[in-house]
Amino acid sequence: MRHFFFLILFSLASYSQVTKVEYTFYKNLGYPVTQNWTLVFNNYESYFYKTNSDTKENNANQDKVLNNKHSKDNSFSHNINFKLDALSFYHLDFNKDSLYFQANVLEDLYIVNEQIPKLKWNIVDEFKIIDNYKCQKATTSFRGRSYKAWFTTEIPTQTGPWKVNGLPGLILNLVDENSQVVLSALKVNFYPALDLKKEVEFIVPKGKPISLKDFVPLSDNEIDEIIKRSRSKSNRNYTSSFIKSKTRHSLEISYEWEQEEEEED
Amino acid sequence: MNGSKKRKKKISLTKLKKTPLFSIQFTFLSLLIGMFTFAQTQIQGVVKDSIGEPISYANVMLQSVENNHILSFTATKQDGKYSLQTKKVGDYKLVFTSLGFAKKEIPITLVDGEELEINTTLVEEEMMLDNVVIEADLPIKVKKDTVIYNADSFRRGDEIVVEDLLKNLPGVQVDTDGTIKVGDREIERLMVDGDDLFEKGYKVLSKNMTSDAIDKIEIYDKYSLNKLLKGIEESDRVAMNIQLKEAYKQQWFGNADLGVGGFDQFYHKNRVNLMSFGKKSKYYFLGNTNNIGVDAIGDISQMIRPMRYDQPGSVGDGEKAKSLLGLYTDVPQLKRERTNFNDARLVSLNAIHKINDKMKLRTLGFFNWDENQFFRNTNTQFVLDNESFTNTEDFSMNKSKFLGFGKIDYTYDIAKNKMLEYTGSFNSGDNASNSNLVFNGNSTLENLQDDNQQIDQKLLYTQKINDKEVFLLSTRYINDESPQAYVNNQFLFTDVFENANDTESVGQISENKMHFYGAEAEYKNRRENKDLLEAVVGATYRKDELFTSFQLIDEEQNSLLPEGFQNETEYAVLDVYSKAKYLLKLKENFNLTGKVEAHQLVNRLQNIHQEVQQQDLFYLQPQLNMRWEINNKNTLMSNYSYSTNNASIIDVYQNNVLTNFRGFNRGFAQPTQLNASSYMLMYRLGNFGDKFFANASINYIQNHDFFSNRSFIQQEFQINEKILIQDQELFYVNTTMDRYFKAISSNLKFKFNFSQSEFVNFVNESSERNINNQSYSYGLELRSGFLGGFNYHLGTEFRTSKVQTTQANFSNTFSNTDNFSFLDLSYVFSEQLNVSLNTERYYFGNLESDNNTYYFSDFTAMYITKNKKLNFGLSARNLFNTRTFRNFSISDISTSTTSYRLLPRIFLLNVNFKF
Repeated sequence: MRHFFFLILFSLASYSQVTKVEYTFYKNLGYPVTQNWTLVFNNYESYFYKTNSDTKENNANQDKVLNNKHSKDNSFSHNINFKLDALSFYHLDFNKDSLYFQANVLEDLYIVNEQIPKLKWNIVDEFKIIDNYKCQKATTSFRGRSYKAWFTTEIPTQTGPWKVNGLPGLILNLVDENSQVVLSALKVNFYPALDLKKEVEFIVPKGKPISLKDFVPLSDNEIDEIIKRSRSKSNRNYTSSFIKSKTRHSLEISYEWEQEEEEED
Repeated sequence: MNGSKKRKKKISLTKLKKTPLFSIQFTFLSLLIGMFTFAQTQIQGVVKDSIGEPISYANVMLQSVENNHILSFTATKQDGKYSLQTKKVGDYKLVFTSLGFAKKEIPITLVDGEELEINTTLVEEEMMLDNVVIEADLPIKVKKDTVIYNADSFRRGDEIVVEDLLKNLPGVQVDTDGTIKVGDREIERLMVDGDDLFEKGYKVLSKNMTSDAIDKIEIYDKYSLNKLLKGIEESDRVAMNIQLKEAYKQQWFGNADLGVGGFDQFYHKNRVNLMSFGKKSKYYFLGNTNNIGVDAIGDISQMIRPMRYDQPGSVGDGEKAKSLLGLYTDVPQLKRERTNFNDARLVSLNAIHKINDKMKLRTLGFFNWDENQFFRNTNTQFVLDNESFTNTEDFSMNKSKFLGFGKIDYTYDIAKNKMLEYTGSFNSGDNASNSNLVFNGNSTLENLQDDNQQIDQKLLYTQKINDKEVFLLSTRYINDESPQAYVNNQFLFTDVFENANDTESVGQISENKMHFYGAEAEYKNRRENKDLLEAVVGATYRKDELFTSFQLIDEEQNSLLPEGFQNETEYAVLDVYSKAKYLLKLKENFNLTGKVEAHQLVNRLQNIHQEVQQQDLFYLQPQLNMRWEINNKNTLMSNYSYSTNNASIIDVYQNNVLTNFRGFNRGFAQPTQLNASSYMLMYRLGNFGDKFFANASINYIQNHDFFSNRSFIQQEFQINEKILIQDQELFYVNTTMDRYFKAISSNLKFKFNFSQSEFVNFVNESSERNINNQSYSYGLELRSGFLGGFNYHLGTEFRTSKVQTTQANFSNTFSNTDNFSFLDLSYVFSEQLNVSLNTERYYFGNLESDNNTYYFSDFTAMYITKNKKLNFGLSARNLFNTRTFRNFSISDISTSTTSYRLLPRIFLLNVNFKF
């Protein structure tokens, strides 16, 4: 019996080959931002985290729409963003069917939980070579955006960058139909017999756990809250106006339960 | 498979006989099921490794044999099992892959309706490929710092004008007053097809042009006004450009805003905008009139002289001739509109012509006429060491103003990296004022004719040497003249001119003519490490001629020119200088800017009947700035500078000049320089968006040299002689604290300011008078930030000032505390209707209790029709109908109470329509 357990452990360790892929993550959700992210995975789980950025803007919370500078007074410019000393990352665990990521709403940090989204992929009969990898095209819709992906079966995996998963190979390129979201692989590294846990030791969840369903309303409300804060600080010359809530300008535009509610209506 | 289909059909047929409706549905359903079953083949199995353990999350793909195309795929579950559905029949292969295992291919034959079970074992294999670098290919080319929005993808169907569409863009905010912000920075310009007609007056465009005309919207971040400086200069400006749809080019459109109202008299406020944007030419016409106190030029002041700081090629900015005499029309700390009795008219035409691909010509011309009236009563109590007296002035004035302005901007793109810009402007002003002044019971009539003519020409050549370096060459010529003619029908100066008893009236004619020549070469270099080096060499030459002649006029209109009251001054200043500036980015969060200016100055001054005075001087002006973002919450900035300011023409004349009805000034008569050291420290806690946010700054300025006065003050007149004193000090502190309360969506603001200055002057026969001015103010504000419906903003502020005079045998202190409070309420009923009511209260602690408090209240309501073609507004100004406003002020020699006449309550109804 003890031999058996040992055998299992040994086999898990030795065959958990770790692959690390560097991506550029371009988002134009009102303001174009290019960031460097890294995807590191074995057969069971993956981490996708923001790579230590070179410019300070990238530390700021640039997924948010209202992140720019406030009108200058004197020589201080007002930054309406919340710089947090916490890493942005996404973690997918296939054994537990769990996905969680770290994000903030204003100054509050959260660890947001959900199940791994099951994407319905449509494999298209189109091929192209990205570097030396033969890639096939696949399309899908995910939370309000339509995506086109180029994946290669030469790097077999279920997982992918951000929350995108479920293709029989690594996604080297992912673009949404409005070109507002673009993920491109830059570099692929293979590490045989490396312990994934050690690789991601620095990824420490700090935020308050919350479910995605509870998080979305908080996040939706954030822009309004920022506007309220900045308006209530203005001087008399600024007159308040009526603000129409904008449609969501985030990576995810709609959620499964919202569509269900719509159908119920 | 065929069999099962038939069988199901049979069932449906039997059902049909029983209940027809149900059966039809059932038939349809069963047909579907039939087809479904017909097309589906299932493959399932389990994937294990060499020791028989299941492999979780392995990829299972059905591929075609000849070209490896994936037709269907799935992955194994945690227990290694998989199942795959396909509609295909024929020969294929099943491919199994998993990280750390060798790929396995199993040929299969799919037969319709047959289930396949394929179990397999994968062999461990490490992927030992070299690390691969992939050439990232972004499918969209994002121009650096430019965001391009396709207008159509942001339309929701209810947009009428440009700003409505802009409101839909993520990251773009449009305030009620039309201010457009990207993030929270106001845009620098709103261009149309790359041309800017409006400068900061862009609201005219964004509030009037139809949103249908927009094809694309471009946002330029880190925008440079001079395009060749892009990427080299430091910029956090942002600008916007609208690309028009072909069909909308050349179309004329605009709006008119007509307002009428009033009870006691007819009040009006009208405005017409008309514009057209063609490929070759773009035009903008504006006309406005009003008699409710609004400054007509305000609309276009940004187009005439756009406020641009820190722009290269700005040599000569701000150089102009001076006027020495003015009728005292200081306005109180009230909205200008409350005291400005006017009748203003303005027309302006603004155009851009594209001469060819490389040349562009922009023209701007306007004329402004205004009739102003102004009324005040002043009671001034002088308290001096040897005497005290009170002067009363009952003053009313009529002024007619004319201003004409023309400007040409010519841009020539010589090559991709070379550009030539020429700006020429002509300004002509003509002011005629008549005042009726009752001074201590004596009626006097003043008449002042005040003219101004200015020609300004500028040439700027920019050459971008490479991506990192740019060279600019600019030259400037300014010619400015400001002649004045003044007559007062009373002679108040009997004590000054003892042998002039037959004098009936006095007058003064004066003129300052100024020529300015400047040339500057500038070099900027953005280093690889992001440091920025800027170097400037230049030379400026300014020549002033000042002529003043004070005259005593007798009954027969004979003029006597008293000695000591005539000036003929020629003052020439040549300044050859070089400036170097270096921005050092020590760390990402630590910036250090060092700046040094070296000047070689040659002053040449000649006063009438005097020797020429010549002064050669070399001096350095160092400046050091530091900005340190200590961490996310704390930022520190500091600045040190040592400056040398050369005396200007209004300092260096020799004899007396009449500056108001009872006062003369005498100049310093020598070329001289004023040196000052200044220190500044600013600290910021938190960020603007945080719940708690605080700012504090401390400034200390030491004027090593300072112009003060030796004054001779009598009840009827005052003569100030300019003297130079040493070591004047100025100190001030500002703090603001903001705390946001989420529960009430409101922000509480606390403000505190303190300032203190010390200097020395002399009055009459006094010894040195040490003056200490102190003032402090503190206040609270509470403002809500609700996104719709009701909003409030209330605040109060106490302002205290104190002037302390100390001299050998005398000391005196004046102090005064005022309070200002306001309550602004607004209610937005919908996007169509909004109302606001602003109320202010002024309290003056030193006025008698029966009239020391003043209230003002203004109301506005706006109704916007659904299609925005027609809008209605109602405004009521000065609801309390407060007709006079009195304030109290103190100085080191006097206290004074001034009452101003105000515009009455005005109701105005206005209609705004587009065409």
